[in-house]
Parts: sequence; structure tokens; C-alpha cells
Amino acid sequence: MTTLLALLLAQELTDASFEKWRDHVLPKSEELEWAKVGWRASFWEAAVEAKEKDKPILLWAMNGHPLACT
Amino acid sequence: MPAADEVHHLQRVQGPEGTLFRTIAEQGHYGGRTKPTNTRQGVYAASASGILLASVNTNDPAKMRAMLEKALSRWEELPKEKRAPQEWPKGERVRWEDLCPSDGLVLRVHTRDLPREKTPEDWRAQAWNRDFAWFRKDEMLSLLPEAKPGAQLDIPQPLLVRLARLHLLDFVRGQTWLLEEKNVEKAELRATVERVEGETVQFRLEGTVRTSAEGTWPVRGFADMERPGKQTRGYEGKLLGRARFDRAKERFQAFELVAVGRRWGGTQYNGRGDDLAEAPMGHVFTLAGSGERVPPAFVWAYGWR
Repeated sequence: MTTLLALLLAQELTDASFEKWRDHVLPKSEELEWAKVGWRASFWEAAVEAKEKDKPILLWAMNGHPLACT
Repeated sequence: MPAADEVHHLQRVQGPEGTLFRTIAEQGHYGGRTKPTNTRQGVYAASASGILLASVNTNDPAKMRAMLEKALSRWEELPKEKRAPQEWPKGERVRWEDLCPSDGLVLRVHTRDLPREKTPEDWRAQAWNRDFAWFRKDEMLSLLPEAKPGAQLDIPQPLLVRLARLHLLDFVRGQTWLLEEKNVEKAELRATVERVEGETVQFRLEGTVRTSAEGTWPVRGFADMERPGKQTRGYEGKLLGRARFDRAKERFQAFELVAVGRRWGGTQYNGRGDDLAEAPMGHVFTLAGSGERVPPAFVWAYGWR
């Protein structure tokens, strides 16, 4: 069997391979360290809280929400 | 106070948070910039009163650290009476999150390349991304077959077309652009009831999707945006999943939908400029956490108001 054919067969989605592909795609715990920062999901939430608690705002602003697709 | 937010929205929205963001951003690293784009993407440290402490657009840890240290130093020098606003900017807040279907179905969508013969040796080899997919309550209920073993339901086409054009996209390495309805060549998903236990219905999902588009657009970021070439892009994949629904509570207890397929082509910012050939890609749809309300990347194309 050629390498390419073997690869194609190995990538097939079946009941048997379902969990393998699911686990391959989902992020591992070490890939989610950034999420532990405690990001407020909107700039405004942080601004209001910053005023209340006399703290600076740290805003991560991306094209695409950083907590989602960016 | 750490926050993450979508810069395109903040740059344009009327209301207090847009006004405050633009006040801060114009003091920052991209203040006044219009070329090659007018994005104000980056990391900003600022006071609630709108005074910029420091900012940068980088993923270099050393540069980020330097920015944070500068910001902290400026914060400590900033008199307390200047840190908070006398009053907030005027206007009402408008957020897509207001449309989050809390009584419907909110899914996380993860995507990653699947194993292939030639893998890049840099960050792209491990790249993955996340989005969200929303279904209103009536849409969620339209996913459910009759509650008896063996009952089948073909998932309504409008929902599958939305899934295909807005979610089964190549955003593994970065943002991409949506597809049009005409680009959806095939979208089939069938639900088959496996088991009914009291009010709980367990069902299987199985289907296929194919999308294809052609035209002229850039695929190498800024490098070819002035002289884009002819392009094609698309996806063909198989979907397989399982879900469990509580009819009494009208909530999903479990939802896993995996898509395995092959993508081709690229778009301006999705990092495929040197990787346009057909290659394997996976998506996984799972239940989002109860507090997760970040809108889908293309929520504006849902047609919801």
C-alpha cells in the first residue's frame, strides 16, 4: 500500500476513528494556558471593573475575538 | 483587569466602549495608521479614564513583557484622580452577545489540520483555532427526530448551509472569509435515534458537506493584496456525531460532531499562501460552557436582529 493511500485510509471518519479525530482536534490542556488569565469577554466589563477597583485595564484586541476565532 | 475583545467591533461601534477604545487606541502603536490597513489590533494597557499606559502588537514574550513593565510603571506614576473617568462616554452599548441564544444551542467549534505527509516545522504544525456556532431555540428543536428508536430526520437545509458556509471553513491558522450560499454544493446531515430513556433521546448524526468557490482574491496577507490572483478554495468532508437531548428541560446534555475532510485554497489572512494544495482538516463541535457568549465570527451573516 502506498504511503498516500495508507494516509487517506487512516484519515477516514468512522465509529472506530471518531474519538481519535475528536481528541486530535480538541486543544490539549497545555494549549489552553492562556485561558487561565481570567479574561473578561468584553472591553467594557474590564473598564467598569477597573474603575471600581482602581486597577488598569489590559486589553487584548484582535481581528477576530481572542477568546474565539482569530 | 484583563479583557479580550474584537477590535473590528470596537473600532466602529457607537456607544461608550467604542468611544473609550478609540480614545485609547489612537494614543497607541497604530494611532493614525491607514496603510496597509487601519486595524488597531494589539494589546493595550490603559486607565478607565482613557489614558494609554503602553501598547504593542506582538507575540514576542520579551516585547510583551517590556510593554507590561512600562505600563505598570506609568500606572504607578498616574495620580489617582486621573485614573477613573468623571463620567463614562455617552450612548448605549450594542453587542452581538445580546443575541446569544441562552435557551437554544451554543456550540464551540474547534479546528486543526490532520496528519499529512509534509508538515511545516514551525507553529503552523500545531495550529488550531476556535469559534462558536449558535442555534436559536426553534432551530435547536428542529434538529430533533421523533422520539422513538430508529426515527430519522434530515437536518433542515438552511441550518446545514449556514454550517457549511460559516463554520466548516479553514480558520486553522487564522481568520478566513465566509462562503456564499451558492458555494455550498452539498450539505447533508441525518439524525437517527439510537435510544430513548424516559425524557432523554440519544441520536446519531451522519452526513457530508462539499463547498467550492473561485474568484480573484489575495492569499498572502499584505504581499499580494494589491495584485491578487485567481484562486479556488473549498472543502469536502464527512460528518459523524452523537448527541443526547433532554426533552423535559429542552436542553442538550451532550453534543459531539466531528468533521473530517480535505480543504484546498486559502484566503488573505488564513496562513495558507504557501499551502494551497488539498490537505486534510478536522472540525469538532461540542457544547459550550454555560457562561460562554462570545459570538460566532460571522454572526452578522446569520441574519439575526
